[in-house]
Amino acid sequence: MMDAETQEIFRQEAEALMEALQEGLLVLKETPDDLEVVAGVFRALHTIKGTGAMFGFSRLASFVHNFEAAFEAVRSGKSVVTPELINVALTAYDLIAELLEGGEPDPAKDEELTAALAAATSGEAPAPAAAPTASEVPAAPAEIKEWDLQFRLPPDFMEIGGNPIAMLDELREVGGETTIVRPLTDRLPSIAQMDTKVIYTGWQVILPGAIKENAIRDVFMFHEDQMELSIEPVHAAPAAPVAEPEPAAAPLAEAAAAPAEPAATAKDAPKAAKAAPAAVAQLRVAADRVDLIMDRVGELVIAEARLAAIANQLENEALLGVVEDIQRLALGLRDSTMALRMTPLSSIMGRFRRLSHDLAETTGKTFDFIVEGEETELDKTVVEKLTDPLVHMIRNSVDHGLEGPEDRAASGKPERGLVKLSARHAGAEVVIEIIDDGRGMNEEAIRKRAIERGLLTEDSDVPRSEVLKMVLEPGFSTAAAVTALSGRGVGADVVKQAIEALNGTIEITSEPGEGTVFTLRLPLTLAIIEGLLIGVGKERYALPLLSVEQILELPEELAGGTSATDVIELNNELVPVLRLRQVFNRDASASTHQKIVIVGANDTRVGLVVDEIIGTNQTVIKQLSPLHSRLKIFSGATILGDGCVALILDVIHLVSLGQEIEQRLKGTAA
Amino acid sequence: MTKKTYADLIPRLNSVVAFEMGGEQMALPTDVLREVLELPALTPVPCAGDFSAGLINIRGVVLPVADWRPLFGMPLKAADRETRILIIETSVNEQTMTVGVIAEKVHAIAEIDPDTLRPVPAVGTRWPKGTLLAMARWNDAFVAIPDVVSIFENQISQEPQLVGAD
Repeated sequence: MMDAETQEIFRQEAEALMEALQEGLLVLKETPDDLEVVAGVFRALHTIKGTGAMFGFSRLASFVHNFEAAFEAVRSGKSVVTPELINVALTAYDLIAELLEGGEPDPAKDEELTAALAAATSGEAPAPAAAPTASEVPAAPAEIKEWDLQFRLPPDFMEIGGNPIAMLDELREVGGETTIVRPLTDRLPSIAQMDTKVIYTGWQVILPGAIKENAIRDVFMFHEDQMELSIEPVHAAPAAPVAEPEPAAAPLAEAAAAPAEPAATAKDAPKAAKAAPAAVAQLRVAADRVDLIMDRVGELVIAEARLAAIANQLENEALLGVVEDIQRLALGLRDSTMALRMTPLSSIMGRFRRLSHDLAETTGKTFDFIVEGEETELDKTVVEKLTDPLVHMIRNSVDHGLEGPEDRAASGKPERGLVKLSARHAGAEVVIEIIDDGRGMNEEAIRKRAIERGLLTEDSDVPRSEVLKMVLEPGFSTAAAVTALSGRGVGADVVKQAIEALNGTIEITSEPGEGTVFTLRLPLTLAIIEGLLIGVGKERYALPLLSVEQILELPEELAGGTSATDVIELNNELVPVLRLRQVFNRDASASTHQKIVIVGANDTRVGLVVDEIIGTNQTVIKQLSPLHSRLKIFSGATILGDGCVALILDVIHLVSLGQEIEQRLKGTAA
Repeated sequence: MTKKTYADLIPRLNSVVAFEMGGEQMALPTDVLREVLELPALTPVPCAGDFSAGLINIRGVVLPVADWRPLFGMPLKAADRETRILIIETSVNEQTMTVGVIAEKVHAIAEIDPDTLRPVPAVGTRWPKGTLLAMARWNDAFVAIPDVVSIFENQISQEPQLVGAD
């Protein structure tokens, strides 16, 4: 066994492969005869097996070997993908995931699943005529006399510690006594140009035809992706030249090595199988390193602001020029660093597809799960923290939202339900909706339950949208029977908490009989925002610039007021106003040029009376300590250009304060 | 004051920082002390109550500063050239928190004789229950040894004052 650290590296490597595996299996569920996807699944399994064995996960490797064998049968056209195979394969996937996590599941499971996989692929062997092969190839190829293997190792093979001689020895071992090895010296440069660490030689190896192709490929297991490799069968039939087609159902790896393209490398196969968009080289970096860069960039942005402040004072042209350059560079650096942290939502979508598959199995409800906008990018931290709430909400939509097939038929709906997850950018926010076309929420039942739980009083006049939100309160459940699905520990209140912790909001709209929509609004990132700096009394505060809608001179009729709250008429609409100096209890006298900053969130607005508008700045958000973090009115603090600390106002909280004022005013008016 | 806390405290007494506020001598074991600073620009936090003195910027890190004087019923003396901030590292509900505490004067790093340790009298002192670990003597005067963990945990568990929207 290797040490924990090395195994951790393997786990990280395997993560992406596992995601691809699951994704592939779920795609196959929909399009069972897509051979490219089959090849992709096979490739993922093969690599997990190979690296797993290398890193000492022997149980995992041997189980995956059998798993792979099942898909080898599909790949070679001996079997077809059936719903049963996908179900067994997904359970097998779970076992692999558990083994990867270091769990010790019952060893009997391995055998049971291996048997199930074998059963799912053996019994279903189609008649040759029905074989889903793309090309019209003779079903039984001529017997293979020998293998003509040609390979060139990657140029840096020796540098990374590879040993070509050992590799040739291994091939001789596989091939036995009749193995013939010949060097390919056509790419030798002149001696002057040779680099001692680079391999210029290729090899041709003739191996007996009795050997399985996989046994040959296994020799190159860890290098196949980087090297040039072609394995061609040489057939016994004297009339058949080398160009005789390869075995039925041409697996992609072989297609790539077809005689027509002798230079094609084996590397092309997985690429094609994944049908990925333009391949950009990927670099895997530990998240804390990116965080460190982010911190440094934050400091840089602050230092840059200080420099700009000093340069403005000195009024030195040359200095101002340099400051402008630095400003531009710092902003560019900030943007590219932020981009490093952005992850598309698709990175967690595999999980949800799987979840919907499982839910369909356990609830017996038939429904389509549609994802829209999975390319939408969000800060990695936000994406990670979204997974659990989304799992819960999707589960909830299926479990509580969708009706069973009979009920749907009775109410004249199509038998298949619909659950849709959609994501899109809206300004500096990402809007995620979870939509179902189920029975909708029962407002009366929720109201009744809320009154029972003391969250509402009998006579309270709360709008429908607020009543629906009650389901997110701790311990709130209107379901008469708690099902196995809903009792898995993540409560609706956890959803609310998680979203609020991300500075997001949840809204619920629901029409009886038509379905429910959960709308999540989340900030793109948690680290840096564009801020508007305002002065209140002697202190300065920052507001997120994106929530600022308007800045007005304070109307005369409001100028004399001293109460903390007021209202202003704006475009025929009454907008509540907060006098920040009074709200903050600052005794400094009001400036003569007070302004109103209108900020908005969740389609509601509030006006803030401030003494001064100072300007915009790059606001690096620092979290408040536990000593202050429960003051909801501030969402954090930031360091200004002169080194002073300024508090960041929480717009969502200010708006809700404004709404309270509005409610109260309505109360007194009625 | 239990015997156990005494036993924990005794080895920590050979290095304490001796300081002063509201005319009282106080001491804190230096194992919680990170540094002593002159008072930097302090940004007040509105609505946070008088225990919160504000926020400071220490080399790019924003730290909260606490003012213990209202807690101990001491008058607030305006900051002068002797005012210091003790940066201490404590734990709040098992999480580390770095926080500043205002001191009107810092005397020295000193050693306290464990034999002078006394429990805090239950009545007749200015110290609210649970704010001190013990009393002791240093330089022929009484010194109070504050219970940092409990002071901050109690303050943080209190509901913050609601924003006075009228």
